[in-house]
This record gives sequence, structure tokens and C-alpha cells, in this order.
Amino acid sequence: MRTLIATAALALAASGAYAQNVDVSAAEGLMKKSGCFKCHSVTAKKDGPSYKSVAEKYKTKPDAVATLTKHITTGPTVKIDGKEEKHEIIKTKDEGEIKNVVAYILSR
Amino acid sequence: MSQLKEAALLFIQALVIVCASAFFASDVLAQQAASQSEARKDIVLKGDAKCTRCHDENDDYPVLAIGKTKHGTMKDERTPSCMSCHGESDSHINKPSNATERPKPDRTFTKGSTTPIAARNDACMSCHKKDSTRTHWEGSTHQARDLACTSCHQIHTQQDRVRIKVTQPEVCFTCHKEQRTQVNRPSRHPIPEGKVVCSDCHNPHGSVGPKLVKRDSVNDTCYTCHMEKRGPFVHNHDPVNEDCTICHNPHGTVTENMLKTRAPFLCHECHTPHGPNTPQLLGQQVVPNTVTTSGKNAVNITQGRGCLNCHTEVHGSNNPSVTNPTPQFRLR
Repeated sequence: MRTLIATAALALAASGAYAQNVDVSAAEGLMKKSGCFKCHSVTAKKDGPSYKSVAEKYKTKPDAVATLTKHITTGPTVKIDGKEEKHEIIKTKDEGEIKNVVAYILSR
Repeated sequence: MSQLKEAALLFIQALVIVCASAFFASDVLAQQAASQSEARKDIVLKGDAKCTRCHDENDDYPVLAIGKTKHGTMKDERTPSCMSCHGESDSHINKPSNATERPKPDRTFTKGSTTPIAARNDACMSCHKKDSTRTHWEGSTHQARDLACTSCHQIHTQQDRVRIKVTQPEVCFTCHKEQRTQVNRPSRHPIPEGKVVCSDCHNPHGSVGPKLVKRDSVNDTCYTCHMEKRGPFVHNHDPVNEDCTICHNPHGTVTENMLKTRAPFLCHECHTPHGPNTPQLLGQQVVPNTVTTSGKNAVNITQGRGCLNCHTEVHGSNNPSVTNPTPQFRLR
């Protein structure tokens, strides 16, 4: 029980920390430009998982930022309907903007 | 014998396991397929689930608004699908595994599109060519200058700007900038007010008249509203029969009645100026002009300023009189 409470508190604290430093309109603008919302939605599952579920899965993990950064910048192979295709790469090279997008996802 | 029995039992057990696993696997696959088809239902158009799985209300371009337009009327059998205009676009829907960027659909219509203009217009004309107002599209100025239908029209928006009276001129003025200035002059048709619009006189889809006017000539187009100028008159004014735009600029001018220049200068472009003592009116013999009495001198110009004060019937007169006042002067 203690462990459960501790994990919940940690998750809440982590999401709060991510949310503090997010420029939402800039993140959403870049994500629209990059076509992220074509496969992902904030709450609903589309071809890709919802950002809410991504945040739930990763925000307690210490390497969350690194994992998500790698995912959106390197274009790893993903499976959609059993077919493999490369994940789209975010349309920016600016590290600050990429960090902002990752923080946006983790704060959902 | 007991070994044989054991082997048979083992074989039956294995068979049961294989059958059961096959049954459950097929059931799971069926459930997956069912849930997928449930998740992907058409939203607006027939067969649009393929597209709307990505292009939904979160898309940066509001594609779903097509449902609020005539192209989204599902009761109409002629209503197209996404593929009717954009093509099957297989490589766009199923991104090749080695592709970094998703290939574009077969036909795109946005500003930077690589789809040839003719192919883009074919998507529209495949249905709209039957419309009689587009009969003269081929060879029209807009077709010859490589305009796409989507240069002016917006298909996915509820309110196509070019089909609304108040906003239509702004679409035309994007290219026709001189006319934008002219419609803001004091003497003009009520274009900025939205009471008269470009398409009241012009057919941008092609016509047999000059300047894409709706009717076969400029005059016929003007006469659709200004029918009292059509005649025929007993005494005609030839430029009126020839072309209204000899004297008028229908988009707007700084002279009243949309005249290109004010009288007497407009009239003097063709007519010899005269003073108040016109021999015909006084029943005198007309003295032909000579080098020294050409009539074109400063005295005459300044004397005869308001041509239209006396020549009120410049568009034509039906005065039956053959004597005074001389009807050929269209004084009344």
C-alpha cells in the first residue's frame, strides 16, 4: 500500500514538474506542423497511443525524456495494423523545441 | 498393448490442444478485425474511414467541414468520396516501410502541390463539365493562364469565399488589383456593399464575350440591367451601340455616372466643340470649318462645358420631329 501511494505521489510530482515548463501553444503548433496529431490524440487512441497513455507509461521512469526524444527524432520502426513503417520525425532541429514537445507529452 | 493405448491417448490430447488453440486464435483474430472495423467507421463521406483515421477534427486543415457543404450531402448519389478527388493514394495510406516521409496523395490541391493543374481541374471537371456555364472553360483566359479551380474555390470549408457576395470581390482582387482600386472610387457599382459582384457581369469559367463577360458582348451584358439603353432608337449614338466602355468604366471612376472623363472633354474626344450659337439651331447655314475656324480653340471649349445639359439623350432619342429642335443632336 505504501509503495502504491509513493508511486502515485511520484507520478503526480513528475507530471507537475513537466507541466510547469511547457509552452502548450508552441508545442501544439510544432506537433500540428509535424503531423503528430494525425496518428496520436491527447485522450483517444488512434493509430498511435494517446498522449495521456504515453505520459502514464513513461512519466515515472527516469529515462522518460531521453526515450521520447529518441522516439520523435530518429524515426524508429513502428507497427500499424500489423504493417511496419517508420515513425515520422519531428520537423525541427531545435533542442529547446524538442524538449518542449516531450514535456508537453509527459504532462498530459 | 498398454503402450499403444498411451500413445493413442497422447495423440488425441495433442489433437484437442491444436484444435482448441486454432479455434481461440481464429476467434481472437475475428475479434480484432471486428474491433478495428468498429473503431474505423465513415464519418462524413462514403469510404472516408481510410482517410479520417488520421485526418480528423484535430487535423491542421479542417477536412471534416466538407460534410457541411454540398459535396457532403450523403443523400445525393452524385456526392463524391475522398478518393474521387484525391485518387486512391495507396502509398499515402500505407506508408512504405523504408520511407521516412509519408508520400503525398495521388492528387493534391494546396498551393505547393506538384499535381499538374490539368489533373487537378480534371478532378472537378469530371462532374462539373456538364454545367452549361463551364462550356467555354477550354480556351478561356483563366484556363490559358493555368488557373486551378482551387485557386479561387475552397472545397472543404462550409463557406466558399468566392460564392458569397460580400467576400467574392476580395478573391478576384487577389489578382485583379487595378479593379480593387477602381471599385473604391466615388462613382461605381455598389460592389463593396455586396449588392453587385464580379460574377454578375463576368463568367470566370469562360465565355464567348470579351473580358469573360457573361453575355456575348459588353453591351449585351450591360443591357441585362440597363435595358432602357438597349433601343433601338430612331436617332442612335453609334458608340452606344458599339461598346458602353468607350465612355464608361463599370468598375468605377471619379466622374459621375462612371464616365471615364467629365464632359466636355469626353465628348470632345470625338466631337468638335461648339459655342452657344449653333447655326443649325438658329436655322442658319452651317459654315464648314477652315484652318482658322476649326472650332477647336480655347474659346469654344470654355463656352460649351456642360454638353449633357442640352444633349440629355446621349444613349439615343426617339424624338419624331424632323425640324427644331434638331433630333439628330439628341437634345431630348
